[in-house]
Amino acid sequence: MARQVLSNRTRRQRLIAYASVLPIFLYHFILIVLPTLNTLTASFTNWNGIGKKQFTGISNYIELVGDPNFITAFGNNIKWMIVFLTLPIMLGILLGYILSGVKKGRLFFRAVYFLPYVISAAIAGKIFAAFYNPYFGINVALKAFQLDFIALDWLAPKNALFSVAFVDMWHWWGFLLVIFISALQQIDPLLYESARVEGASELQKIWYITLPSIRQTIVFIVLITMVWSVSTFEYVWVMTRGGPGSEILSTMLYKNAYFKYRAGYASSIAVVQMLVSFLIFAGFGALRKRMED
Amino acid sequence: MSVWRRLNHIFVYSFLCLVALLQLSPLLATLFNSFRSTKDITKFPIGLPTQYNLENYIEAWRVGEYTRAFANSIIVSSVSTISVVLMAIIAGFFLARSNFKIKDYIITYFGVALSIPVFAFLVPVYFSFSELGLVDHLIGLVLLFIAINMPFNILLSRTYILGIPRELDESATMDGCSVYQIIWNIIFPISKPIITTIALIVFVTTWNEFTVANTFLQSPELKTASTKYVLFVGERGSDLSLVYTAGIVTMLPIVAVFIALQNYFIEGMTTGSIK
Repeated sequence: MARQVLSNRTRRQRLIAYASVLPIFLYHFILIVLPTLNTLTASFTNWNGIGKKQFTGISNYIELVGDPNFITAFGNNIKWMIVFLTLPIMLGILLGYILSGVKKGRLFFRAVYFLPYVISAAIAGKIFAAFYNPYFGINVALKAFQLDFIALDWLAPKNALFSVAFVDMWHWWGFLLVIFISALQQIDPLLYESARVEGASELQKIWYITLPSIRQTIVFIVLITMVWSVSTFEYVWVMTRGGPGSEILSTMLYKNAYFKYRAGYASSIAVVQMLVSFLIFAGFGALRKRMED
Repeated sequence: MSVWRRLNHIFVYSFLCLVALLQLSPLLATLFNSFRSTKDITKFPIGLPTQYNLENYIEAWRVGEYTRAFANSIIVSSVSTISVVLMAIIAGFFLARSNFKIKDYIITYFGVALSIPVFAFLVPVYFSFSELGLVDHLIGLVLLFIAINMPFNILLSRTYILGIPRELDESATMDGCSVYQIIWNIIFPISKPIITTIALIVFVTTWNEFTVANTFLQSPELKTASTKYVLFVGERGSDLSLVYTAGIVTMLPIVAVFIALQNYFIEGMTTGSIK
């Protein structure tokens, strides 16, 4: 009898669980995953966004491979990735290491460095674009101080990609700093103490204790940096709209989908982005497995 | 030794201050320029204002139609935040506590969903919404913002609820409370820290979001504050003082909250990024 009551009860609770979780799951599935699957199928069509989709096989992908714009964009994403894999991570670790060593003002400096992270890309991008303006921007000040040689035309094709990346890095590295500080605080202080007793230099401490101890965090940051670099968009679009010199995969996709009425072609770019991201995830998964073995 | 130490200290703090100054200089220059006239800025791009009055601010607020833009942002971010918090607690609770067959699949599903980039679904969703009349409607944007922010925050709240002792809700079950009474009366109050974190993450990311908001809202009067700013600079870009002033106006609410609650903010926005 008691058992019967209990099983009725668990059955009822199970029902409530289904009734609560399934709608939430379905909501997400319909708005995010279903369209993602639609992107996959649309990439094999000549869809213009409004009309019917007509199956065209892999013609979008063939066109993509031969499209010089795509090659440039892909290359720019790689450049973007390389920049983000080096400067912000190094800055985050370095400042994180220094800040972990000071007592007074740690929280103050952390907040100052983090501040740009809470500012929208839309605002930061447009304000920096004003500073980059060759006629009314910082160049006027640089020239006044006889620094003409660094008064470059910041958003000209030759420099645009790095100038935009600089703004994104300004916004991004404070986030990395916070992640690295919390990782650095997990390190056993005894390790540093014994290194000090043995007379290790600061550089030796960083190389033999700090970096190996935060290895997992570094790997994680490298992973998200690589994946995000594949589909980065906001700063480039806000500042140059992916104009000459700063075209990336996402800006190319955006233009094709919303300005050239080529939703099918745009979808094939999205599929390439997904594929590359998947390969990065898979590569890291394999690497992790090998490290554990 | 002690002299060396002191020198070392001075060196370290000078370096930290220098980095802080570099990091803040674009914002300070913007703040100063927001009080200067376009004529002065054109002559020299950085400098101290000769006077501090709110003329530029009043002008920027009026020209940028900021009352409307902020109202849009507040509506979009609040509704998204409240919805995501509710869904995250409910789904988080059942995914932490209940035993039903597909539970593990759903947890894995949300884990994988975390890594779907916006561009994977943006184009088809846009054209479907366009057919349904949801493009250029705040509702359409809110619907998407909720979906985009769901996976991460559901997993975050599930992890938190896993840490709440089971005895608490089991004894309530014995007392005859229904599941939703338990969620409402026990889980909700205990989960305040994670709810605040989720609310903060969702509010700030939706407030700042550009790509989806700019794609789905096209009429100037529907734009959120940050997307409105891009439009504003596009139209009034030559009026430099307005560009900087409107920039300060647009970033002020979030920056003010950040300064008031900095430590909470920083921990909240980086929570869950690392295991």
